[in-house]
Amino acid sequence: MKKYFKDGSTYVWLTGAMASLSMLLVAGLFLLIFYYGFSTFWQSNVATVKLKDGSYISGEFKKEGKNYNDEDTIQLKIGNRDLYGLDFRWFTKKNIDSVSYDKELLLVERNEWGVFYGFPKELQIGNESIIYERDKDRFYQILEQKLKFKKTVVMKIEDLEHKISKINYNLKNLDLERKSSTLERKEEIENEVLLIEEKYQVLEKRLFEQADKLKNIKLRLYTSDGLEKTLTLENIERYLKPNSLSILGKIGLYFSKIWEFVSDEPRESNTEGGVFPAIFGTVLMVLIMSIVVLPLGVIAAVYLNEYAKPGKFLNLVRICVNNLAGVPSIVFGVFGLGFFIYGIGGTLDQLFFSDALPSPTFGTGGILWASLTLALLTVPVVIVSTEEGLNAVPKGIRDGSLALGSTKWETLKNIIIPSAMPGILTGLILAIARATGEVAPLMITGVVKLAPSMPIDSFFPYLHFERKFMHLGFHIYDVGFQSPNSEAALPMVFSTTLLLILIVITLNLTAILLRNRLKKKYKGMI
Amino acid sequence: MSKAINIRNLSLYYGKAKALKEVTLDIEANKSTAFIGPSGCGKSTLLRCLNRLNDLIEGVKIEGEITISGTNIYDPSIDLTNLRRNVGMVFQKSNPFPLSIYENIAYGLKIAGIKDKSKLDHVVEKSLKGAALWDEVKDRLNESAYGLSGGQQQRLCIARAIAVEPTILLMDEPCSALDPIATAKVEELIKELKKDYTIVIVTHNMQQASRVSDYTAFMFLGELIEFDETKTIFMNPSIQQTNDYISGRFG
Amino acid sequence: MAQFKNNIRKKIEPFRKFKDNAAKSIFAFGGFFIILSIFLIIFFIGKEAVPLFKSYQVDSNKNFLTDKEISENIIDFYPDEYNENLLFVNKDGQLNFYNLNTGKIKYTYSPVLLENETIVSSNSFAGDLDRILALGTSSGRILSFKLKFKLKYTSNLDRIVDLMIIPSTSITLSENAIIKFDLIENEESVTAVVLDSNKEIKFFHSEENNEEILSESLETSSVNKVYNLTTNLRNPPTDIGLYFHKNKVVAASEGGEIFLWSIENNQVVLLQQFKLSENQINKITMLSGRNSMVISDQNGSNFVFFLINNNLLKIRELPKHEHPIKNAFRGNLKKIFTSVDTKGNVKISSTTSGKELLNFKIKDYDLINFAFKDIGLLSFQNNNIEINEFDIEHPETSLKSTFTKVWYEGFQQPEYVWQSAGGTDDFEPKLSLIPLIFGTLKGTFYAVIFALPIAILAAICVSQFMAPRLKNIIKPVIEIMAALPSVVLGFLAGLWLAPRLDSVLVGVIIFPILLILSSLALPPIWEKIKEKTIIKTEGIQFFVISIPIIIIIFYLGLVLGEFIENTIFFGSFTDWLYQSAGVNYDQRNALVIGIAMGFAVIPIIFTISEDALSNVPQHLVSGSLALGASKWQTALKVVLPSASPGIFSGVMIGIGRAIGETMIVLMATGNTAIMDWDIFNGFRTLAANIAVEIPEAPVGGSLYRMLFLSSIILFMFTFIINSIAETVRIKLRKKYKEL
Repeated sequence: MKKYFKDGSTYVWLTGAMASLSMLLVAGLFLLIFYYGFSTFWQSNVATVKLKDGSYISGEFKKEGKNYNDEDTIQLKIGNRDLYGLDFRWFTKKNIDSVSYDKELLLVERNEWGVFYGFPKELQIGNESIIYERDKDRFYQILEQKLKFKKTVVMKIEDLEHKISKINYNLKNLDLERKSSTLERKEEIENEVLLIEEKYQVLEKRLFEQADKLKNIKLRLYTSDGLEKTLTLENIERYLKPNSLSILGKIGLYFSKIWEFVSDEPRESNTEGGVFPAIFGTVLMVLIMSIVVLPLGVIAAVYLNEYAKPGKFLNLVRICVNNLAGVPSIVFGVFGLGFFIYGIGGTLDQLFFSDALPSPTFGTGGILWASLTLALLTVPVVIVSTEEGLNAVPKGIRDGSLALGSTKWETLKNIIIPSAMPGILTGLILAIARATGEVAPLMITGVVKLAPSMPIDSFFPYLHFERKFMHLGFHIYDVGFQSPNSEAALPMVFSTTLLLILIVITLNLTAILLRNRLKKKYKGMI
Repeated sequence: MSKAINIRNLSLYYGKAKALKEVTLDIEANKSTAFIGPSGCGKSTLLRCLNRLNDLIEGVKIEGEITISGTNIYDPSIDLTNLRRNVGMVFQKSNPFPLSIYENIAYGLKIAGIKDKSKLDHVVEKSLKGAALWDEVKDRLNESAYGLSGGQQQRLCIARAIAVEPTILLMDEPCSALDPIATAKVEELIKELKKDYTIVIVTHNMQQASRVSDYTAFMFLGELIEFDETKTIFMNPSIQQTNDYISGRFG
Repeated sequence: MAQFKNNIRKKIEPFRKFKDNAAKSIFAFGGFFIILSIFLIIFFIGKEAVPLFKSYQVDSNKNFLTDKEISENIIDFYPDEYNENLLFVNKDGQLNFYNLNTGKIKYTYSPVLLENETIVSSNSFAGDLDRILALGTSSGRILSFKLKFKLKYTSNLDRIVDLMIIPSTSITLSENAIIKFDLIENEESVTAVVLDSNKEIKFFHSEENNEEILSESLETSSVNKVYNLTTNLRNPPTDIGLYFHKNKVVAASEGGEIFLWSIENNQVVLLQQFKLSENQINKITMLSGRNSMVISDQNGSNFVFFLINNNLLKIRELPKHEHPIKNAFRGNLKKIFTSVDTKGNVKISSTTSGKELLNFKIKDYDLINFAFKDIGLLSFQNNNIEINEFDIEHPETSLKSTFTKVWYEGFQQPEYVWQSAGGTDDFEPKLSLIPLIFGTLKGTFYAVIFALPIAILAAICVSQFMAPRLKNIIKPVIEIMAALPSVVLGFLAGLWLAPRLDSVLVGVIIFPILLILSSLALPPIWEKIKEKTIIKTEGIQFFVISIPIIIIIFYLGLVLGEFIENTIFFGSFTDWLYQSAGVNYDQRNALVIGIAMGFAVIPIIFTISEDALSNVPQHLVSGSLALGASKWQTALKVVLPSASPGIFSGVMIGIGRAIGETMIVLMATGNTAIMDWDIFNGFRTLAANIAVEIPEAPVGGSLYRMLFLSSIILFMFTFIINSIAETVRIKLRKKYKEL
């Protein structure tokens, strides 16, 4: 034993163990996220459990555990929150009599109260009624037909809603105009308002008509323990028969769920549906940030590397810029709040949006302020990386260009900046990756859990810098920690996490590859 | 008198250190002149004074006068870009731009505002031929210059320098990074170029100096020790120090 | 003479020259400006925090003259919230609402008084909804009124304050004139204590506040008894006060004595009686919330007393006057206290920290009062009103209260407390940054404890003993680890790890011990295996083989942990911990944070250390190996010492990261601002605190500025740590170059 201490193989083994431990930690973390993230979309079979006391309940098995008496328990997602009050329930295994998978069991995704597990009974369309037991094929045929019909109605409703929001927008503008116009004009405006309001009434009536169409179609269901539930068509997002799905069908469903996740709006306080607005908000925020941070970072780096007088002071500045990258992001958030929102935003409000006061326009968190804050946060990253790129350009190339009679600017523009491009891009990508994953400063500068309207829409000026927005990282925090039903929301959080991680890692890998390219680029030079 | 360059009492300081000490020297047109001397003797610094590339270095101060064709190039009214067009330079390490071969050659002209494609094509071909590189690269003008071998890259740099038609061509140890075959090719080229250009070459290789130059200046510790025809310097130097260096007693 | 092919005297094309110059100025100005403005961030944040500790002064001194008649019989006055109108209380009971600018009375209210009854004393305080004005009369009654201020704007946007006075309660407490009184009145009850002209103290309490007691006279009152407290006083009382419990009365006397009574179950009990000093006590000021009081005496001293366990305790002294104190009162909205001495010196101090905020001199006066929002002091003599305006924005904060222990109202001893908001207006903000700094350090400590051994040992392994091929896989993987968004780590730690950790806690604690033990046992076994097999066992294999071994050890740890938990800790380690050690197991605790934040810190320490270790000049390594040292000995004796500055700087940067980490801490601790090092408890860090509180902090308020101060501290912490690290790293790089 002593020998191993002496030649150190004990310690060598320990260092190796730590190296592999850190690998295992990373691998474990990714496996965890990938496992939960991807399994969210998989539709497992829905069991109907018969308990020893003779009652039935349906649901999906989630996990196993032990209770206080050290008995094996199993968790079932029982859904039907409107009937049972909770989504999940633990059962002691010894209380379970039998488990069956009924092929006719129906899973309905609704726009409120979560999923419904149960059996079909009847479809009512106005006065007409189709009893499931009498004609199963026709029942599903009509249901399918009606869901298609719902799609067209929903499109009509969306169209109407869009028209109404346009009217509201016009009304708001007229209202603002009225405050600051002459008497004559005021009268004109009044008339216009009347006309518009008339139109509004008509549209609203049509909207209600459409909505009523959906309310008249009712699906009557009952749960495995015999409770009845009637859903109107407007509540039904989709239905499926999980236990009669083939593997192929399940795979298809799997991908359609993934698509729904990235393309749909969230439902039920973000715990179901998709994350499209969050993706959109993240991308737009990052875009605005990039537009700001790129010139700032490049100009500052070119100044430091090419124009500033080298010396001790410059080195000091460089160390400071480097250190700024290590300053906590929340500090930048605090600055953004104090300077951009209350400082600049408050002033803008007083100068240009005084009509709307006291409710703030720019004097509150918004996508512009959040982007600017993140631009400040990431500018050191771009500066450092750009400088690295500029430094990598050999001095001989500069001299060569100057010796040919080009000015400093021509040298920079034609030779040096193009050569440093990989470095600049690396910096930008790292900045984007950082901004995508950053949450703390956004929380106080304009991110919200549910943005009522997107920062881009069809109303002038189309891009609304002052609007609040949604963000993937914040979505994770919000759904995971602020949602009232956090257990039910967990799958959603894992999927969002997976998405975020995929984006961030792709960006980082791109940056690493670009950096390697930069290194290789000058290898051909002798 | 057909002196192309007159250097009068030229002194150069790096901060407080005096790197060139009152150098006075006349360089003849359409001849090649070599600066030799041990490393750190100031020969490269002197060369870089001729196209004012030393101006870029922080803390450099220059006294004295250099006239080229009767014009003092340190005159404030002299424009650096124009001076450097007239005084081309080839560096110790080949330094092609990260552009295509064609773009490398055309760079100087484009900078000077020449955009005519046919003229550019013509100059590129002429310069590459002048640098004896045409046959080797004519089929891949649009490929990156970094694909060329070391010797080719150096000749590309020479072609790039002569594309803007300078009067004087400065060469700062142009062959130090090349293998013997490439060196021979470049030396051949230098002899060729003498006909059209006044060449000033810095070298630490005395054989090279004796092979390619008509005149040789021996420098030591920032001072010009001896300047004469190459034959004289190598066969019969009038100063003992020169003799010691040439015969390899120090350096 | 050779001619130039191009004219050397030719000038550069003006446009090229212009572009060059333009670029130069854009880059020089732009770049300089950008870098400057990045650094201005710190000044901006600082600027927002500075007013916390600034000293205050009187902003303006104004004087108004009123009509002689108006001011003749005034016994007290109250300003509105804009200091534009004053409510005068006249001796004859008339209440006049007077506008300072116009000099006119806008509104007069005359309460119903008895025959020959005059007003002797008055008081005003905040009620449930409205301000309440109470008057003490010569015939022993207290009359109270609700003051309803209404704000209107004229067409020219001029402000008009209107007042409406509604009578509320009337109680009869004495047969003599009421010199001083204290009153608590709300919708549910009325409590009053009075000092009458006969030097007697009377107490009254009613659990109803309605019309009925209005009409009840002293004699007929059956339910609402009036108690006389003046049975055992040697010296005449000078002032009285009422505690928020509604049954505790405090009084002071000419002889410097203080009395505390409690009235319970129709019994008057003297709880405490003591002599403060020989000096006559001039004034008792109940502070807002009626939790504590200030006693002001003839000697000019002001002492803050808390009532702790039915015992009055002298807590601190407020700024002392040279002369006897003539008048003293508290701020209406702010935690401030003002005392005025007989020579007109005014001292305003913070009741929380005891710091003197402002002192100035006023002219001789008869009546004095704070402006409604504590933004000025109004004093009155004859027909002259002197207004001194000031704005004490942050009375509760001082450097002392931020960084040292403070004895807050309702606490048993001085403590460091962060508690920014409470349920009521009377809440005393407790803004000590120490618990937060402590939490920050605690989180950092556990994160570094977790990350340090893993990161450094792994870096030694990767740089010294690993084949380059594996190295090229591992380094980018760890780089990617550094890019993990902290919200992801926080989420996994808070919602995945924390709920699972308590059941496998023992196993997790055992695991590192097993790992170290295994490193003792495995090499000899490994040696044996190598002898007996033909597998080549250099570099790679030894690393690869350790992966399954670690998994096995971890599993063993869990099994063993469960076994130990069942046998030694009776099935539940956390229960055992609570019962035997009194340690409460928080689900979201420092251990969870240590692991999660460790994740964020490992890649930083690893990357920088690995860099330093593998850049140790090769000739040093080969020199050592050539002398016959083993690889480990070389690593330990040669590589490690010369790379130690690099490792140090890696650790520093890791610490910097942990200090500023927000999301992980926010999501994986309970964010309770408590101060103990216990690994199974949570904490609150500076960064998380900012994230939690700033959305609700009113702009410009003390909390808002305090959070800016926290940001500055965070900035400084990380900036200094990073600067040290960077300097060390640059020096190391230079050293390597020289070697």
